[in-house]
Amino acid sequence: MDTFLALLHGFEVALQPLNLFWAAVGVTLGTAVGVLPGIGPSVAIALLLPITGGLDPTPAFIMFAGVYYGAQYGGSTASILLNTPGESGAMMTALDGHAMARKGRAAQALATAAIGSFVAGTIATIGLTLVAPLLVDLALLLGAPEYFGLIVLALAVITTILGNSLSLGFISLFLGLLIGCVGLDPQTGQARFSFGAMELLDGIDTVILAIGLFAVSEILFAASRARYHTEELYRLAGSLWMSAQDWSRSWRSWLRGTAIGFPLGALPAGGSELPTILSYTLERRLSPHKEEFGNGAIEGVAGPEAANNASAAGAIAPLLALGLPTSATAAMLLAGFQQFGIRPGPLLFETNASLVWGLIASLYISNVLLLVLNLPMVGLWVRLLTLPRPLLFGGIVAFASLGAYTLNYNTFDLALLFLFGLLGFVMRVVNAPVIPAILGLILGPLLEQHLRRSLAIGEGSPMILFERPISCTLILLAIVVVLSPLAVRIWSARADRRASTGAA
Amino acid sequence: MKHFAKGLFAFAMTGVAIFAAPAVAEFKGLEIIAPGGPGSGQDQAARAMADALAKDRLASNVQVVNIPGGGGMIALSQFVTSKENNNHAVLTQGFGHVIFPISNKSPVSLADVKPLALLAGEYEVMVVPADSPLKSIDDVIARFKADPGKFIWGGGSAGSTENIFYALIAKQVGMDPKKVNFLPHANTGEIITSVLGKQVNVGGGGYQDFAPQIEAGKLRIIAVASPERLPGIDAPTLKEKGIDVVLANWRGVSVHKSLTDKQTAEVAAVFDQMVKSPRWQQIMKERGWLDLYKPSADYAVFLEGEQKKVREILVELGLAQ
Repeated sequence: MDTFLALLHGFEVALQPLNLFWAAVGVTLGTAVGVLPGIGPSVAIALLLPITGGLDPTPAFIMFAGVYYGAQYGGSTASILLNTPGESGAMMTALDGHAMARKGRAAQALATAAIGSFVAGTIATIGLTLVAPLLVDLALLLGAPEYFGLIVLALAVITTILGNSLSLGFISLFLGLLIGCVGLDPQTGQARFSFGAMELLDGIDTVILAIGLFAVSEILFAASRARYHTEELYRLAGSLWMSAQDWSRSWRSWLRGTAIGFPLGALPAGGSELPTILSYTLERRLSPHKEEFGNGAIEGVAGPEAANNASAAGAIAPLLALGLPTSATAAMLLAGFQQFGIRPGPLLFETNASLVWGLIASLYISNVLLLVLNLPMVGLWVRLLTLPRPLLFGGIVAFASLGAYTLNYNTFDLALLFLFGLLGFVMRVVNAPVIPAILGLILGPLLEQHLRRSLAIGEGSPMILFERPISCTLILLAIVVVLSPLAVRIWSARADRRASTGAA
Repeated sequence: MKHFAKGLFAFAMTGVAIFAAPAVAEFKGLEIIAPGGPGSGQDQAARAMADALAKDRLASNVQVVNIPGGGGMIALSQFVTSKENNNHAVLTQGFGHVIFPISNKSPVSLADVKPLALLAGEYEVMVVPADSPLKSIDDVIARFKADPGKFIWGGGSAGSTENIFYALIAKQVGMDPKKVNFLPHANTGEIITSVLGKQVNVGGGGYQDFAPQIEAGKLRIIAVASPERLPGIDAPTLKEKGIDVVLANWRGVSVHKSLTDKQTAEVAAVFDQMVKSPRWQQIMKERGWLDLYKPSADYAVFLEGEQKKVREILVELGLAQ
């Protein structure tokens, strides 16, 4: 009951006109940076930090919360309209969201993303109020072997489910894992695959690979087919509103996305990527419209968007209680705390109650503001797609380049972007899925880190992965996931043979 | 409190009068280059400097420029190539920038810039969960010696301050530093999580990182790597326990090597005033940084000592030749 009173007090704080003003500034700014690829919410908060030095901590954090959530809305907008996911959490949204846009259903995709984020944000905020301490315990419970198992399972699930060919999927995955090996070795700090280029020492940024493989390669592909292809793209079809069918296909996905995103957001396993990936996979598995996935299934937008938003709320608990940032943006919020001399810890809920609960309440208020701000904008956003195609494509390339360049203000990253664009073009031509590669890059370094940590704990023996029940279960599940399509194929082949011999 | 601030202010004024004759006037235009992205430790230090310099009107038009990547070496090499004869640009650096060039044989190192001033830092501390059977550093060493493979030390990334910290301790107690089973982590939050979740036996880092958990009774502090006991920290130094390890995660600034002595002295005067300014003192207090100020010549000597110490231990760890 106490926590509800505290949350109520939080709302009191967050609803003060001045704080509300900062929340509005935050969400507007956040939406803008979310739309721009490259400038993610973490960079935006970092740039705001010195400016907010003169503010009280409470309004400053209310604004940061607005930026955090706003950027996620903005990120999905860019993914859907332009196929340029500005932050990795919006990557899964790009898959079906952009496919919907190509079919003229951009408005519905934007709407299900906005409403889904709102629903997920609402539930997750309530969840945070109720079970914040449990989330902290969850983060403490899992060690390196468990994270290793979780990541192996995620990689296995997504690679087997995406694309038509298991071998092409795994080739793509291992390509990503290889790219993820570039940079400093996490255990010894020695450079790997850097070829003497200092720009490669910190590894390759996921956003560059994602934008290269998604946006640049798509434009190359479209350009290469332009002469033969007269398909009408992006033509707006019918109403801008979600139909009854859209609603009925979306709401379960929103709830499932929330259920996945909220607890996983509290784990230091790659921020919002893992929840959005798992949500997408789950939606695809459960949907009666499996064939639509990749071609504009609304569930494929609704689920990951909800998961993305819920994970942002889930990340707050370990951040406040342990100072454990589970995403890049959470890490920036942490830097913000440090700037104000506030140190996250178990006592923060008591010593800075009005800040903590004001922050949680403002997360919720940001959601409301964003919904109000974004839904009317949908009509305006989709007009962007009515631009003539050469202009639109040129614009996307310029936009993608800007995004890659602003990551480190480095032309090296631009060269990488177009290199990956070419790679993506080749992958499209041979019909290889690109998501496993991006996943390999995101999760590969984490996978390695947790594997090597596990081995260090087990004094070099891999048995530690199987001695701990949770990690053992997860790894066995992963093996089942990979082998099951093979098994099904063998069985059905055998059944066919039996049927044909029976007929003869 | 007010009294204290007033005293500080008076002290600062005296400092200005005595040491800073050439630059009593505001320094016009200063670029502080932070070898790290926004929000990183270097960035925070650079912005704190900019804040103090601007607030106390020691320099005008102060800008922080972030150059992330390459363990700070991208910033360092860009500084060396593009800031020749530029007496309005400084580069921040920390202990990590001593370690990285040695373990990675990078073409540039801190030897390529001119040390200007050592500013602030935090001494390394060692912590355990509050209910750990390890009560003292003697317990820690005993457990480590009994079964080094099973004893896990948690810290920052490979080649981080903690990596060096534990290796130095092992060497001091007569063990091979290579026997230290070091578990690297991406950030302090992860280290805290690992210690609380008992994934590691001991954790290391700056006191401020652990302070909230210590105050909440979840973590216990075992020892501090400071030369003397620190006020407000209820723990012995390693030194008094017979382990001669003094190690701080420090921050400093450098200028380009091409600057004349006169130019260097002018920039140095700005920072000399800054460390005494009320705003800088306040920032240090808020963040729990300790004043480690050393002017240019002393900083250069200090850096040489750090370099020697790090090189020796990295060679023993097999991470450098």
